Order: sequence, then structure tokens, then C-alpha cells
Amino acid sequence: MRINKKNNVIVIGCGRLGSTIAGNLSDKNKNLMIVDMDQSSFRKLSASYGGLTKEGDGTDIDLLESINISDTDILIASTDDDDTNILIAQIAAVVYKVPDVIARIYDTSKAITCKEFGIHVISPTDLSIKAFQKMIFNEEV
Amino acid sequence: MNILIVGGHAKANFLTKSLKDSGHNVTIVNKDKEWCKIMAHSHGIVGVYGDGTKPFVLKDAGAIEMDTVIALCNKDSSNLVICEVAKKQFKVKNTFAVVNDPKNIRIFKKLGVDKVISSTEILSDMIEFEAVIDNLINYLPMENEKIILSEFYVDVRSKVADMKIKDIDLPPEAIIAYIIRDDEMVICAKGHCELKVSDKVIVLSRSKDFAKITSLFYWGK
Repeated sequence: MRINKKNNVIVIGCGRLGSTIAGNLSDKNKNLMIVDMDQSSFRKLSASYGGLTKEGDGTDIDLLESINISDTDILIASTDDDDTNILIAQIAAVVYKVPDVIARIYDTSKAITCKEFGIHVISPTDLSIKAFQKMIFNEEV
Repeated sequence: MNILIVGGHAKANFLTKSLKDSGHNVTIVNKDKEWCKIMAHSHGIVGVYGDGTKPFVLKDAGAIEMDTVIALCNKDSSNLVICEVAKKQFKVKNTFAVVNDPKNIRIFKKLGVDKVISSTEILSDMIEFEAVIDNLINYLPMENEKIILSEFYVDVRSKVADMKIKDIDLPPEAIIAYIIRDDEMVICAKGHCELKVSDKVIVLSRSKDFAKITSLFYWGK
């Protein structure tokens, strides 16, 4: 996936991961929209963040439509709950045909259908295991 | 049939009882350890304690042997994950999810869940028809709610009382199929038949015409 030409990005879940990614992309002049249930979590965004924020439930299709999900190029599901991320990612990929959908999923055994729908899965657990193996056995996996 | 029920308290209890009574093999999965024990004891079934959205828990519960999986968790997203894992990993033929948000019915079906129901929607449908609930006896939506089979009671105040069927202002795509008189005589409705007070009437209609139909049998405004 190349981000260069893609401009509209929706991030759902403004935790440490979501807020940091949104900040980085905003610095690269992308049009950002970040969604979270809790207004106060937007405090985590960097001072230079130039995108929009929306308070609400990211699994609600009325909310997703109100932020023009069909026009977005990339959607990142980064809430703290695997099931919620899976639901959001599949709504985006299957119903609204968002070209690139990325979901953070701790337990990848749950994400069995995500590959089939072309969703990119990032698993902190898998990444940590790989880092460990590299560090301890000095092997690439 | 082998049926697995994931999540839910009162709903799971009720379903387990009625499915057991009709001769099915029921297994339950629940996050609540005490509830698992209670269910296992009171119904004589296998209760598996664990988070049903995790594939290994479903595996322990024998998901691979199941014909049907019913997901009753409080969170819509959990129910989606349960049904998807059951379908893809354990090749379960029928998956059934309960959702809170009625908008998720369409989405879940698109994502491959076989049957989706929303208690919120059923409740709001019932409230909507409460005004006519006195003379609406049966209400059965079919074909994804495109068609409605309904049964009405003809009250003395109903607009259609003592009218011939051909004179009733029915929507063009609606049919009065049968008239049930004195609880035993079933009459195949023809144009010249007259609707009498205390008849019951079976009507088939499109769901968009349903409000019009109810107004014919209702006596209010």
C-alpha cells in the first residue's frame, strides 16, 4: 500500500495508536478524521493535528455515513477492542468498498475472515513475537 | 440437531429449554462461570466457560460438530465474530446472531451471517402496531419483510364490517385470502362474500401497504 497519492483518511479509536497515527498523517498533509466515543480522548492528539474530530460510536453506520466513509481512501480501526475493530473494518471494506482498510487486532485467530475481505491486519502480539525471536535467536521470521 | 448457544442469560436459558424440549442437543458457552454451572445442572447439558469470541473456546465446545450456532452476546460485534469463526473455521451450516442496532441486520447478512434478528426492531414494530393490537391477531413478515401475512378481527366498529369484499378499498396488491367465521367455518374469500362482525380475516399484503390494511380494520381516525 502506498500512502503518497491517498488523501482522505478515517481513524476510528483515539487511543495511543490511533492518535499517534492521526498526528503523523496530519503532518504529511492528509485529510484526517478521527472518531472516538469519548470526547476527552482527543486530548491525546498532538498540538499540530490539523484534522477533524467526531465524538460517537464508530460501528454506527449513520455516523460513518455522516463522515463520508464512501469517499475515504484509507480507514484505520484502532479501538481497544478486537471485535469492534473487526466489525468496523468489515463494514468499511465490504459495505462501503473503502480501498485500504487496516485493523489492529491483538488476537489474530479471530480475524479469520478479514483476509478474505482484503483487510490489512496489524497484530501487536505477532509483532512482539517476531521482535523477540529476532532479538533472542537472531533470526528473521 | 446439535446446537451451540453462545452468551446470553435469560435468553439462553429460555432457548435451551425450548430446544431441549424439541429434542435437540444443546451446548452453551458463557463468560459467566456460575451461570454455566447453573445452566449445566438445571438442563443437563454441557456448559463451557469462556469467551465465545475466541476460536479455541468454540473448539472446546465442539463447534466442529455443530449444525447451528446462536450468538446472543450483548455486543453486536462479538456476535459477528462468533458467527464468522463458526462459519469459516468450523464449517457450521447455520449461524444466527442477535443484534441491538437494527441497521446491523443488513450488514451482518452481507457479511455472511445466515439469520439476524434485532430485538429492538421487533419491539418498535410492536409499539407501532399497538394502536391496532386489539384486532390484529397475527402478524408474520415473510421474504425479508417484503410481504406480510396478517390476521384481523372484524369489530363492530371496523370500517369493513358488513361490507362485501369487492367493495372494500383494498390496496391493489393485497389479497383477503380467507374468512374464518365462528372459529370453525373457513371461507375462501370471493368478491361477493360479506365480512360479518366477529369474523377473522387472513390478509396477504406488501409491507408498504400494511398501514392501509390496518386502517381498514381499525375503528379510529
